[in-house]
Amino acid sequence: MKKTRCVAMLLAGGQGSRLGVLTQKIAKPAVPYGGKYRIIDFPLSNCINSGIDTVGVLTQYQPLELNDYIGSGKPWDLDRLYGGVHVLPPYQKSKGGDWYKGTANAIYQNMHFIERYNPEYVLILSGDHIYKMDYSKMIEAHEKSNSDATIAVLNVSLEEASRFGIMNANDDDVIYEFEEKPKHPKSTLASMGIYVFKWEKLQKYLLADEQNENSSNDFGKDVIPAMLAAGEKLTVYRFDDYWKDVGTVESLWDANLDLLNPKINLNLSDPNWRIYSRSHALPPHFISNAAQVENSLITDGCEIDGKVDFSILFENVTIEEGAEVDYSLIFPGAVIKKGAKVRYSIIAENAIIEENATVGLSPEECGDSADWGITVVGDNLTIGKGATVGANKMVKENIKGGESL
Amino acid sequence: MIKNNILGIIFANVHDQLVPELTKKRSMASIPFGSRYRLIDFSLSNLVNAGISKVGIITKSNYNSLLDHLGSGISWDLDRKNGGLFILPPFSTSKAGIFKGHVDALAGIMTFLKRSHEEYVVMCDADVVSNMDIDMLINKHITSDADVTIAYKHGLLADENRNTMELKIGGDGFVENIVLADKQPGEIDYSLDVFVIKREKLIELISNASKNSLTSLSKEVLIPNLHQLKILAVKIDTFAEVVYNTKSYAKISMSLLNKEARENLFNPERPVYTKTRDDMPSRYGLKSDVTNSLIGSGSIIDGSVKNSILFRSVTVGKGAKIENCIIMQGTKIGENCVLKNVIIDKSATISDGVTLMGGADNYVFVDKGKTI
Repeated sequence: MKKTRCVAMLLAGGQGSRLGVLTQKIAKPAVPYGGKYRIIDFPLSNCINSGIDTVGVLTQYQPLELNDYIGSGKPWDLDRLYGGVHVLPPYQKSKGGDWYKGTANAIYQNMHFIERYNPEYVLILSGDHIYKMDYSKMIEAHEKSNSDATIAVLNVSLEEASRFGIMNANDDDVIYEFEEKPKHPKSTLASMGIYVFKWEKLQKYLLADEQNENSSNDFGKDVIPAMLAAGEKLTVYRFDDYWKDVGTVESLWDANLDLLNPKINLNLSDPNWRIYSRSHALPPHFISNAAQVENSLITDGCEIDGKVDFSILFENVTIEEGAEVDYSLIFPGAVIKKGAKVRYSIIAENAIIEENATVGLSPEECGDSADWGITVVGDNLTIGKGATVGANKMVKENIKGGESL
Repeated sequence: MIKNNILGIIFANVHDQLVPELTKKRSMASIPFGSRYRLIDFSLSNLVNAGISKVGIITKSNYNSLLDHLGSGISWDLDRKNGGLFILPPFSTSKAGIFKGHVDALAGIMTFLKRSHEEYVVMCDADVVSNMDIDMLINKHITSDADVTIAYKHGLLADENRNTMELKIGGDGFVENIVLADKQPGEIDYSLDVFVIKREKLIELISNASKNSLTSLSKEVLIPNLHQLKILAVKIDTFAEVVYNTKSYAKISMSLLNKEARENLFNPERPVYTKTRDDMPSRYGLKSDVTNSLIGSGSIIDGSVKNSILFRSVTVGKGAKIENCIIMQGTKIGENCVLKNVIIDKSATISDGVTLMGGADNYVFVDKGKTI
């Protein structure tokens, strides 16, 4: 049997409820990013760039769009004779079936998929982070240290540390303790949710975890602590490049605008580490005589007649004359009509902001900083003529002309 | 619906000599056009959008860049088990050498034509930038029981010698006479050289013509046989422009700055497909000043760009001023450059502070890969 060195398992089943209306119809990994990407493009591109050509994508919540997007895996060169990308939804077995109960259970239910490739290592990834990482280096480090599991960590600030799973490690990077969101963190090494396991060890602990009725079947909460308790060798792998969790509206907005910051190392068309995506047959974008564009990313198919500053315009966006877009993300197909103002907002797919409507406020305009936040308009909604939507709003239904929210 | 009954043929090297600057290192078919396309994308997309899933591309010379562009045909959905994309390089016999016209080119692919099972053939030239409804053309061909159907356009013809066919059309829509239109004053009905014909009929015409070593489809086959053939003319009202020379190439390119022209060519009902590149969206820097311009993806713009066409991955340095220019993929424009009426081919480098000024109808041309 052909032996595959490493199989990657990408956990893409999460709803991402903190993204509100943005993940009402799609799973978090399918959320658009950076003008033409989706979040899942990052782990998939990292895999192929790292030489990993066998990837299982575990889906559960609203999988239609994600399945459609992944397709045969061609855009990431993951359409392979052997291996390639496979979408793995929960399924019915002869003895009944279950939804994925937790991250570890999702892998447990697909152990036969991994077995087909008879790998030495299994790489566990999640579909909600923006970063470029060479997994092959992590696997090398894992092999070299002869660890049972290696966990990628990021050095965060002490204040941030209480929001993450923290790995307390000795000088030789061997982990002695794991703390989930500690109030008084002993270290600042935050788990990035990226694990490399020896396949035989992972098998053993997944089987044991499944037997344990008290387990929540989660990697961070159950499997890692169980391995530590049993005295297995767990090592941290330090990563110090750009990495951002995009689990909240604000962090998603932030991570997008990071692409406009020349000080941040996030070149997505770097020929040595390109981020691939499924692209559509769209014409080039057009900037008219009436337009004014600065500090922004503009994608194919856009028609710009208005003013755009510090914003990211995704595919096929229309900005009409006299409209103003500042510090905002405008998702594919959205239309900002004449005289409308969009500030500090995320306008989801195919939404229409009618003439002279106002969406979002800048922190200065808002005055009270506690009330300020990014405003989100859900997909395919219409904000009527002259309507006003303030700061920090999550718009889930149409707003009629002249109304305020 | 997939049309398994129609075969598409594209002539990739037609009239290469008319645009010498742009075909020095490539075929007519692979001339970059409209910020992200190659000329062949338009013919190929027209065929594919009509449901045709088998297309033969007749190449002649300099087709390296074309092969690179087409690959397996996947970008046009032409990587197929049945049919798909066929690249047909020249087949030279000791007697004839490399082909000169459409007729000997087709004679060279006779085996391919005979082995194909499709009932009809649609042929087009790669030098037409168009978005036309080929499906409609085929339907009219079939219902009218014509031997040959030709797509034509009504309008002024550029004054360059391309041996374009002028069609004299009768009230019933059939062609009564064909003359070669050169320097014709006024508006005429001229052929866009898109033909629909039964495959058997094409084989018959080409076999007879090649016995007599003929080369020209218009002069030596269609015109002499005018009275034996029932030729239907179908008017095209959508975007269709022929590239005659570098000047017309620039004019057609610049016409895309007009909204109506863009909507006409980039009709979402019939998208134009091209090879995808994984570029980021284009990035506009602080103080960038872009107006009335068409921009491809992956560009980084820190200067001023006006009335221009920028292709993918072009960089424009700070303080640079670009006006009425066509700048192809991967070219780098340094800081404080001043460029007016310039066409720059792919991957050129214009060093900081360089000034290049062409005339309104007389573009300065910078070769592929050149550094100035």
